[in-house]
Amino acid sequence: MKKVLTYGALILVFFLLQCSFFSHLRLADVVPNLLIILTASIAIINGSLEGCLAGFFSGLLLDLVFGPYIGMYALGYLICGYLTGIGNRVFYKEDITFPILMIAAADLLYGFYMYIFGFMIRGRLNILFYIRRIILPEVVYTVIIAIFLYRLILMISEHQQKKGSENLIA
Amino acid sequence: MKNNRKNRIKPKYILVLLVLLCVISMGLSFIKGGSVPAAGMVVSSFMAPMQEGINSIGSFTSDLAEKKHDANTMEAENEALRNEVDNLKSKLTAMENNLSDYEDLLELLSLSEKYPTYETTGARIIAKDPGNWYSNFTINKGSADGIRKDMNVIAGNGLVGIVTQVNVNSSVVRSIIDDTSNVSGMISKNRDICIVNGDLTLIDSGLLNVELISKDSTVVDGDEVVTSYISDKYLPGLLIGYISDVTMDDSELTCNAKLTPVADFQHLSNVLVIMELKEDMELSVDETDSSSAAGTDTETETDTETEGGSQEE
Repeated sequence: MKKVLTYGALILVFFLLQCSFFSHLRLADVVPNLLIILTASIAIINGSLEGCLAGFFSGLLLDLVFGPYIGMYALGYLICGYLTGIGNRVFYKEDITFPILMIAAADLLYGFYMYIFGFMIRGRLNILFYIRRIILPEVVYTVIIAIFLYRLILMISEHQQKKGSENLIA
Repeated sequence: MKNNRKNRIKPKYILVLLVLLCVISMGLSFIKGGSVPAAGMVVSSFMAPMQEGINSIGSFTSDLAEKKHDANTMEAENEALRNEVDNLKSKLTAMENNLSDYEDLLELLSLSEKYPTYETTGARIIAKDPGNWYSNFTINKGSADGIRKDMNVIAGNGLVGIVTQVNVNSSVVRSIIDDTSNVSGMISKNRDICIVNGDLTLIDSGLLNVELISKDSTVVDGDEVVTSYISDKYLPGLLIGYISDVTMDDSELTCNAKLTPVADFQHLSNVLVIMELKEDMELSVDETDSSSAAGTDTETETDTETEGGSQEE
C-alpha cells in the first residue's frame, strides 16, 4: 500500500515537473522525458509488474490531461515499462551504468513508438529527420537528467522498502 | 523479495490486460471523435492549480537565466530603441492623418465590418505538451471562465490555435504549428482559399506549410494570410502570417508555399481567447443575412458597375 502511494506521488510530481517546469528549461529545443525515467527506474528496481503499472498510470495521466485519444500515451509507457522490467534480473543497486542504458533504450523505444503511431500513420515518412531532430536529442537530455533522478528514485524506493520490511517484522 | 516471488507469473497477464484496455479506450475515443470523458476533466481540474504553481517557478528560473544574459545587450538596445521611438513618433503623426482619411473612406464603402473586433479574455499558459512531438499547451482558464471547445486563441494580433478540450479551470489549446493542425486560410489580397498546415519538420525554421493554393493565383512572397470565411471552426479574418517561398506542387495543379506566423511561438506565455464561436456567429449571420442580403447585393452591384464605367472612360 505504501509502495503504491509513494510511486503514485512520484508519478504526480514527475508529471508536473515535465509539463510545467522543464518546458522552460529546453535544451536543443527538446524537453526531457521524466516519466519514462520514472517508469524505467521503477521497472528496473522492482520488475516488470511494477514497471507495467507505473507506465500505465503515468501514460494515463498524460492521456487524461492532454491527449484526445485515451490510451495512446498509456500504451507507449506500458510497453516501455514492461520491457525495461526484464532488466530487473540483472539489477544490482550499486551499478548505475546498466539502469541508465536501460532508460536510454526505453526512451528510444518510446520515441519510435510515438513516431510510428503519431506520425508515420499520417504519412510523415521522413524518419531520419525525426530521429535526428526529436528522438536522439530527447534521449541525450533524458539520460543526463536520469543520472541524477535515477539515484533519487533508487534512494526513495530503498528507504521505503526498508520501512516496509520493518513493519513486517514488527 | 517476497513480492517478487509471489508475482513471478503475473506480469504477462497484467501486460495483456492493460494493453487491451488501452486499445479499447483508444478505439472508443476515436469513435467518439476524440472527446475526453468526464474522468479526464476531473483529473485536469485537479492538476491545473498545481501546474500553475510549478509553472511559475519554472518561468521564474528561466527568466533569471535570461535576465543575466540580456543585461549586457539591454543598454545598447535601449539606445537604439529610443532613436526608433522618436522616428516612429514622427511617422505616427503622419499615419494618424492618413488613418482619419482612411476611416472616412471606409465608412463610405461601409467596409468597416470586414474585420470585426471580437471580445477576448486573457489567459496564461501553465503547461506544455509533455514531450517533443506535439505543440499543445494548457491555459489557466476553463469552463468556469466561459471558455468553450473550438474557441480561437490569438496572441500579438496573430492566430495561435484552437481550444480542443475544456476543463473546469483549465483548457488545452492545439497551436497552429502542431503537426496535426489544419487551418483553412485565405490570402487576403485576392481571396484565394488555401490550407495552412503545421509541420514538425519545419519547427526549427518556425514556418508552416501552405497547400492547395489555386494554380492561377497571383500570390507572391509577403502576402498576408488570414483565416477564411469557409472554415467551420476558425473565425474569419484572423491574421495567421505572411507567405514566402511559393512553389508549384508536384501535381502541377496547385501551388504550395511556406508561411511565417505572426504569433511568436518561441516566447508564448500569455494568450487571448476569443469568446465567440464560429457556429454561434453563423447562426446570427443567418438571421441577419436574410434581411440584409438583398440590400448589400444591390450595393456591390452598383459598385462594380461604377468601377467598370470609370475604367472604360
